[in-house]
Amino acid sequence: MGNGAPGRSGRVVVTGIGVISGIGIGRAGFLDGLLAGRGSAAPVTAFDVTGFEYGKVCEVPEFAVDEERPHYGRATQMIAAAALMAVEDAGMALTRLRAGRGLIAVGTTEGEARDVDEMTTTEVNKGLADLDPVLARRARLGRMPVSVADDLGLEDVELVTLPDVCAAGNYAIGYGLDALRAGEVSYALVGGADSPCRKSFAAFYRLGALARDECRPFAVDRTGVVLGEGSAMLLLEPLESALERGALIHAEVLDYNFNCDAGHPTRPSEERVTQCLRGALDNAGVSPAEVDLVMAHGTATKANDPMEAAAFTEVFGDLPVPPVAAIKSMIGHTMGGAAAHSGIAAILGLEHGFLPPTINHTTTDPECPVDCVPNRARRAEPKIALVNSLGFGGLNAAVVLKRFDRQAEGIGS
Amino acid sequence: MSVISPYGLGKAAFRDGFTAGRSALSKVDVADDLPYVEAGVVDGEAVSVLLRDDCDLNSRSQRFIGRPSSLAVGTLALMLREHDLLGEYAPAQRALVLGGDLTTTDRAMDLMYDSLTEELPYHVNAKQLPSTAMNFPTTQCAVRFGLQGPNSTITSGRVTGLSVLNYARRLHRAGRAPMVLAGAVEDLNARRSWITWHGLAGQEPRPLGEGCCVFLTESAESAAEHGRTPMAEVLALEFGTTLDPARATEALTTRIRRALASAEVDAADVDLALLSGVDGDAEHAAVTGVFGADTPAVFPGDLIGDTAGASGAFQLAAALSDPAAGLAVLTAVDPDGQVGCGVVRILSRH
Repeated sequence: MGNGAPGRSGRVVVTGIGVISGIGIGRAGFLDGLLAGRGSAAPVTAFDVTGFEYGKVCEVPEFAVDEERPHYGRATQMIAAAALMAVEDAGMALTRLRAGRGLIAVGTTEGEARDVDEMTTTEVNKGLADLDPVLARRARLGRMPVSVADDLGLEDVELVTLPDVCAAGNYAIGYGLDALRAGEVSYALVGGADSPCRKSFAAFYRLGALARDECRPFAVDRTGVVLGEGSAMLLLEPLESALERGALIHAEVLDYNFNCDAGHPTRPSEERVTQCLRGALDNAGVSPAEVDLVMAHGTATKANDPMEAAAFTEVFGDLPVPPVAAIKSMIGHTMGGAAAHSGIAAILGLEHGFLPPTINHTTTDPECPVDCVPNRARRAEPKIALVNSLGFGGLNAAVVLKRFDRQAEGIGS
Repeated sequence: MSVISPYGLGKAAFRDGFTAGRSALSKVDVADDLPYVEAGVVDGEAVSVLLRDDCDLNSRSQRFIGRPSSLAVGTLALMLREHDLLGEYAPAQRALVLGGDLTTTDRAMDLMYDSLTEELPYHVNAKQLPSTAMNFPTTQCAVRFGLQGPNSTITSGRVTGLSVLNYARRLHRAGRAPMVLAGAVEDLNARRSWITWHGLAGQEPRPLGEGCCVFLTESAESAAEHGRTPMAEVLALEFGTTLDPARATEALTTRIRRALASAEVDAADVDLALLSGVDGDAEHAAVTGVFGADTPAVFPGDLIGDTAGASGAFQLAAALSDPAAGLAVLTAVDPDGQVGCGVVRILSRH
């Protein structure tokens, strides 16, 4: 089971970042969007919204699917593109990647949901016997990491999809961390993706969970979430291998924690979220006083934000709650990608000395008394970030990230 | 181990049917308009009675959670008849990892169907939304049995059963949970049948099957502490993929050899190979290439149908049921290119 390249210290770092989002593509593009406090909600173009009274989604119109690769759907192509960006960002030679053993773990909520919608349309109009074989093949979620291996020419690689819904990005990061720490792989490409579909839009709409115009986490006039599309992938590797090849280290992954409410499918338990966050800090060996930035799940629904604010208050106890940013205000709810997008926003904040903003903010709801870094990114020197995520079925997953301080590590810059 | 299979409820039914080499396939009703003429179908009525008696789920609740969740919850209920896991482990110590393939696509299409056919596009039963996500069976198990530890769903096509074991192993190694229930589920329905049929265009279609297997995984120390005799030890798991489908045999051969080396066993010591079997030729060629033609190579899917995302779990269930197995190798080849191999030492049979 060993593979020859385990990190001696067990420390795992992020050396590559790949992003596709409504506010920017690539590490530099996403950083620019966060610093500018850009929004991306716009009328839906991806599916038919005739009959709905309103319909905005954070789409990425700049991302065009490669028609030459019809066997991979849109979300899958977004994952492959983000993974390629992460590898390029890491300055990782493909020959080196191919020579090592790797893990590709992709989180998602619904994979190629638009293809499933399309197949349902065929079912309604013609019947199941007329399904498009191309859609039928690419609808399986297990294909998402296959596209990454395909693009990068990787064969000595373990491929898994983690459909752990809207906490899935953190699940993938945690899985990569454990595989690297065990010395079983020499790199891990982890993250998540989704591309919203009509089925989910209709159900969220019916639930009254969608905002008519903008997503306003923690604001008194918040009306719900805006769905978003995109992907976010990170290249993780042992600290030693990153140092040995002179890679730029964006951040360190300290640890994570997962738990399950085992209760209501859509109404999270504040108590269990609190336990999850505390567990993540304990696993990371970090005290609440050391946390400088919290990335909220922050859906801007009536129920979520007060619950999350109360959990944060509980976790930090007598201490003031650190600034709490909710980037769904900018990129929408990217579902399976959401936690990984939040994690990358936190990493960029740690690396570049700022706190990502929560845009569209008017007045903070007294029921959510947090400093949400309203509207504008804020200069700061955060060292530790706590990334919270929640998913249907009571899934809670939190990841702790640390700024990589070259001076403190005794490494010249 | 706990199993619900086309042979019936429980591991004894599976063991008896499998070891007798009896086919669990039955003719499908031609009126159902399905692309397959045979299938391995679980007795839904028996599952329904189990859920009512053991889980206090009436028929309405059963309809709400749907067939994949019913199979998963029922399989766990059978496990808990045998082991007092809820008494032994606190809620936060109970982890679950459950695999599958097209497990909830049918539910997603139900919701979209309503959006397309009702008077207005949002006239859908929004409460069904969580059940359209693939983690629904996993989280329904958590709800029914208070599993508050790490709870994860996984898919890697036909390699899923082996991936689930690896996920459980990593949770144990990292100290994330002392007890991990690990398994996989796949249910049979018209949409899965047609999606599979079309998705495998050009390949010989095999009868589909359904069912669920869950394994109780814990450290040897923890098992002894609770008075349990270990049934099997997972000695090695190896994974890979091939970019060229024509090279699946070569890719799997590499993983089998690595798994044997990692497990520190010789090919000659292996008693039995259990194959996932959709791409049977490539898989069989790799197995006979490493072990020779004398080592028995068994395709559980021949007897119970192609259980897709649950096939690997059924391969392990078959290894644990076969009286000839001391050292067993499980292999998997997915049409998308993923390959995997596990080496398992069978310690006792139940």
